[in-house]
Amino acid sequence: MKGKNDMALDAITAIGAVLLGYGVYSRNQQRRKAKKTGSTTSGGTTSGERPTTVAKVPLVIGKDCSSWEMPETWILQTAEPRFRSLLDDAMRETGGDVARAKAEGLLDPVGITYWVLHEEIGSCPEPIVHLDDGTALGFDELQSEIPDHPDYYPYPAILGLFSTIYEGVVAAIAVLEETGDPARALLFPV
Amino acid sequence: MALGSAAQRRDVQSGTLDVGRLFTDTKALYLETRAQAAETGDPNLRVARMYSIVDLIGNLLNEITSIRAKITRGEEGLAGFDDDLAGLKLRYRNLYWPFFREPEPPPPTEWTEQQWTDFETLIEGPILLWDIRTCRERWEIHDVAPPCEGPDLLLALQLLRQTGVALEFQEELVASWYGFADLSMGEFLKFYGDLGRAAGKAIAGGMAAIGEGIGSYVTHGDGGGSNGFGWGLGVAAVLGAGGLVWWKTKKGK
Repeated sequence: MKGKNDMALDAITAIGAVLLGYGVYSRNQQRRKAKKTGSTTSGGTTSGERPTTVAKVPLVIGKDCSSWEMPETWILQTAEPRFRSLLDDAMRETGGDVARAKAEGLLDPVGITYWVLHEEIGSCPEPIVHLDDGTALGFDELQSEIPDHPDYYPYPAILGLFSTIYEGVVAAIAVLEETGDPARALLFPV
Repeated sequence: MALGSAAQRRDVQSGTLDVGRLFTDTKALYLETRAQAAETGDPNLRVARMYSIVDLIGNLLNEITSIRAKITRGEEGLAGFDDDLAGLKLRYRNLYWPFFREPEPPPPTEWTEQQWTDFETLIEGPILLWDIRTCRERWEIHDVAPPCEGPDLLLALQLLRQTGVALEFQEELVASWYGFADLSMGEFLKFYGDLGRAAGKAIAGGMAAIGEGIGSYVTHGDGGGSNGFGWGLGVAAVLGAGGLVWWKTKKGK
């Protein structure tokens, strides 16, 4: 049987190193830039009984497309799994070659952003504008301030939502490039 | 053996390493350190150890989230798991990590009485020392993060263990598909749906068993028994980093 000291956490047993770390410790933390539209608590169970079935928690989109909230559970149930499956597919198709996956467009952050948010924005129109010449403008090329321009999209909050996911995707892909490990490439690490 | 090692985390996942025992031993060592810090007059020791635990929880959360992203079968059984994980992530993101970083506090030797009180009630208690009942009674920052669900270090370890259970059921489910290649699509979908529901129930059952096992290590005192551990957390909207600073400003701290 393991002794108490053997069982205890590394962080405790290796405290000497941590002492050095406290106060000077820093790391680049990818923080969520989720827009704050309120701090509410909803749903969940309160009686101590877990439900046997679960409906996935949705993104909360304002009726007029002017606001959104991103529940942590939506990130866990929808965003991260979708993103991870794309990364795994890309790695599988390229034999783990991140550079090749990028070159082949398998890690295009704009495309990935659309996939993560696919059918997640309720009745709001997808932020994409098809031009007469057959091309299209993506959310990263749209603006919401000057109507009548070809790149106009009327819902700035939705553009903000796409940008938030996009930033997470870009940061996660950078982690993937650095580590080569999809498991470490999270959209919203803590 | 060190939890920081991949080997130990695998042992937690597989159940080889007893999560409750690991937590209890860690807590005992922390209390020894705290006593030592008081004796020697070196508060850095106490704070640094807690900081290391917070950092560890962050690493565990990222690992658990990553594993969760791979679990796509039998999700019915993950309802409580997802709520627990979401709540812990919010506490970490909005409270535990910012406490040490936003803004970075002065050295513990210069802390005021209020800073020590905050350390005890916002960090030390909910992460390591309080049971569920105490958490719920003493939690005063509902605007910042959902109340703790027992000691959060224990919850993090429990969630890592639960990913092991869920993955095991998922693997069994996938393995059971083989041999059904001759089914029509309709038959397959029905078969698949039945299996998914069965896996969901099995995962939920397996996780409940973990909760009961761990229950012996914590005192609930709420009449709910061990089943109460880690359960029943609502879904909180994202408040985002800076919540702690906001709360302190609001409270005039």
